[in-house]
Amino acid sequence: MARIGIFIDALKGSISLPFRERIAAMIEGLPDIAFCLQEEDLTSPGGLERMGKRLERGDVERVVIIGGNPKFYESSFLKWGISGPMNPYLFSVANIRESALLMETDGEEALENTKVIITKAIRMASLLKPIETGSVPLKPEVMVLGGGIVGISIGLELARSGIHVVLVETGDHLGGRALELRTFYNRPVEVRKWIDEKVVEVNGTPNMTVLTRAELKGLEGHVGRFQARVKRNDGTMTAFSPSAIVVATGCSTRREVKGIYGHKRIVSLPDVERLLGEASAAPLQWEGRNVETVVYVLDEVNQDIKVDSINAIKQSLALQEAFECQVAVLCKDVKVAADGMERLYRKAREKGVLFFKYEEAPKLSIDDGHIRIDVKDTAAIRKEEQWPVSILSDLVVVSEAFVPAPETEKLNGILRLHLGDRGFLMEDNPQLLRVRSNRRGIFVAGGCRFPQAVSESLIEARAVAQEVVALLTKGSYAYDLAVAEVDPAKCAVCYTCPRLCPHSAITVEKYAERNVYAPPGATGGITWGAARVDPAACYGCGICVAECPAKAITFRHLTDEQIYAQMNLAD
Amino acid sequence: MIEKKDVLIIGGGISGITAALDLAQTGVSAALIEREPTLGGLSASFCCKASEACNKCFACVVDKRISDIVRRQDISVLTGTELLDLKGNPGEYAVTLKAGRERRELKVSAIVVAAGIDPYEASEKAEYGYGRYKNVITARDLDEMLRYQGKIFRPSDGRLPETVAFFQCVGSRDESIGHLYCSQVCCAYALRLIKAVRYQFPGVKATFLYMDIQPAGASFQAFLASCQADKGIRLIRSLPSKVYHSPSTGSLRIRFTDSTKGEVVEEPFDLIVLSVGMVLKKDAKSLSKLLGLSFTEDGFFSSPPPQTGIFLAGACSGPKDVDRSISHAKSTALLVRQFLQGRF
Repeated sequence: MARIGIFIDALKGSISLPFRERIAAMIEGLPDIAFCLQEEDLTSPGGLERMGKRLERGDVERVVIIGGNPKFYESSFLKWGISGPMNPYLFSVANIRESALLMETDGEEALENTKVIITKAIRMASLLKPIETGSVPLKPEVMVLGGGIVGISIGLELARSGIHVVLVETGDHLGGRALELRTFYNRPVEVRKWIDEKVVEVNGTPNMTVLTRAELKGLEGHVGRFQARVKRNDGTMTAFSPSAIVVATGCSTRREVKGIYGHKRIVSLPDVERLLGEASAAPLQWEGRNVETVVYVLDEVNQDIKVDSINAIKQSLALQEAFECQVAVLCKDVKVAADGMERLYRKAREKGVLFFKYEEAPKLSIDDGHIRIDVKDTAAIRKEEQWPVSILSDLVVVSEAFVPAPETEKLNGILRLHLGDRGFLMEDNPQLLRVRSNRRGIFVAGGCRFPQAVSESLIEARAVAQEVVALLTKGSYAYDLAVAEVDPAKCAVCYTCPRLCPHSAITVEKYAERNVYAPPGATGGITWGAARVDPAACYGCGICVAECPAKAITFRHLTDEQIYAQMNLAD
Repeated sequence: MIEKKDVLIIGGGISGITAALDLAQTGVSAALIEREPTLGGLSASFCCKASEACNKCFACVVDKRISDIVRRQDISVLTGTELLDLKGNPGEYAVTLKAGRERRELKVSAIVVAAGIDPYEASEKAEYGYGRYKNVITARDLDEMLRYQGKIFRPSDGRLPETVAFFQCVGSRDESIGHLYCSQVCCAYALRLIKAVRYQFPGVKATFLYMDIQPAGASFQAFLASCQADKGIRLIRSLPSKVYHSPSTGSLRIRFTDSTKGEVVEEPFDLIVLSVGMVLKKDAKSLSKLLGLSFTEDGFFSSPPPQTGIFLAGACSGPKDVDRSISHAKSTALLVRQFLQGRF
């Protein structure tokens, strides 16, 4: 048996002296105990220092802390332990705080409980194994997928931080969907000019490689050692080995064209942006006729995306002010949850833009070359006073449905990220702080996660750049090996674990001679390997450990044996 | 010798903490000061608003980040400390900090202002009777009630309320008090509170009175649909004008236009919860003089040019929820690092 050192933590007096004395007396009778010390507050700097000094003598191999919540010590111990004389995983904790509190009422029974807890912790300690650390070198190279404004911004920010960026864009030019916009709602800047400046900057940045009409075809490996294959515009395949990957492939829109929606006077918001950009003065022309009334029908699709609402209000102000049109906006809710939007909305109302909040969807019909829109005005309180309103309009603007970019699903087959209900990547997971993905080293930003206004996307872009810089800045990713591990001798290559791993940290590869399988008659060639957990990519969730039918996967810091010891099932 | 740090972060809420953690990860040394004795700011008192599943309220993220920063030894966290004076030029600021009676000098290159926000002072809307009627509380009061006492009750008698009305846009989108902005977070915040309350206390019926429902994030549509499907939640587009209080019985009545019935109704409620909007933290106004910050039209700080070495993080630059505050603080951390490397 290994020699064990014991520290009793009084938790600043939470565990009373008489109680501690009784515990100490009990421990003295146990075998293999090197010493048993008491501390008023073990996790205080003084307490940690004294603990370190004592352990430096090197006469113990395991440590048991008797005190409170294990989590509490884990951080202190790790913090101190990494550079200390002992491996930080060679300690176990007996949480006796509750028993100590019950001492008042339960007396001897509480002491008995405490004894059981301590015995288990000591047994656990004797089963502990040291756990090494490892590290993956990270070279400053990042692949950014998508050349929209988010991709460009991330690329530029990373390049400024001295990281080499490979920007992969499937289309033939940079800029993405933001090029459909004429102006920003909150900045007096022409979008095209702004993007052009950015593109010039990209082309003048030496450590950025831009590949247009290129597509990611394959991705192997994990953080720090990704192997990406990119098909370039000339049909050749190029291999890259980025340390991290940023996905910013944006979103796409789908326009309803059935029935009346195919009418030439029913257009989308980007059409109006274009029209406003081309026209110089009133009257506005569309399909050979003057445009005097414009009606926006919003919220029939994308109810939870505020981009359309923002653009519709921005456009209606321009239409009303510069082109003397009468504009009506029909929506379910006026979405003004963006900085400055409420003021813009009020200004639009003051300028004469009409807003109707509908409950029943407005009816569109054709009336003498105009589009007639019937809507019920719900502004009146009484139902019977909610008169139907008919608007004869020269131009009807409907929103297009925001959908994931068509290649998202295929791309995700390669990247293996989480897809949300609607097919966007990594739709919502607060724990990943929005920009991280389920795989370490892969980040998601912009419209491929969720369509949003340009200014918000840009903040997100910088947040992603920050995450990537924070990951790469140290030059290596250090991890400890307290993760899942496959025993290749037991692995039957059933593919249960790679399918279940939520972080895509498990791959099947040939790395053990034991599992090489050759069908009868085959002359080499076909061989099987075993599953392998990449320790840098593993989050230690334990799903594979529980699910492996062959029990080939173990947790290095929580083996079955150790769990049984804690449950008192070992005997 | 005067202590030197790269960055001073003012405010120990979620934005300040995130900025400090992110800067520390890239090897930038930071001192974080917080006026209060504890970290976390406003968001530290948020309760978990999960119902059957997580409703993405981010309360747990805040708790986790607080424990993250406490563990780190390379960030000096000074609670109970405030900024007293600032001298010098961008890149070489000399700041004086005050902790109780103690004074402390510090040299920093850049400053991040993460002063945060205050909930709107609901008693200013006298017609709703906050502060006068015990059973009119703010959404934040309810949040703290759920977090620290684990239940919803009427402050007047401690009883579980059967009917609760939630008033939206209290202090937001309101011309009468000059707040011409949407606080952006309150719709989702109040609906999450309702879901959490309905899940824990199915007997409580909620009425959500709103102007427009503002979406928040990728899963909001599904979340809203689950609220609409819940028979115990009524979503009514109407803002009540006044709360009537009967001193003898202590009951609260409100008049509002019920768009579902198409008439003006008067209904009693056991508890009224006001979804208060955001205003810049009152204490933060003194910072504007010290740091030369100007205000936006809406009364939040407007971003100073990056050459000044002073940056904003989080909701003090405009209404933001925890989610967007984290993104904003991260993006600020990047700018700070670039400033220190001499980009601007």
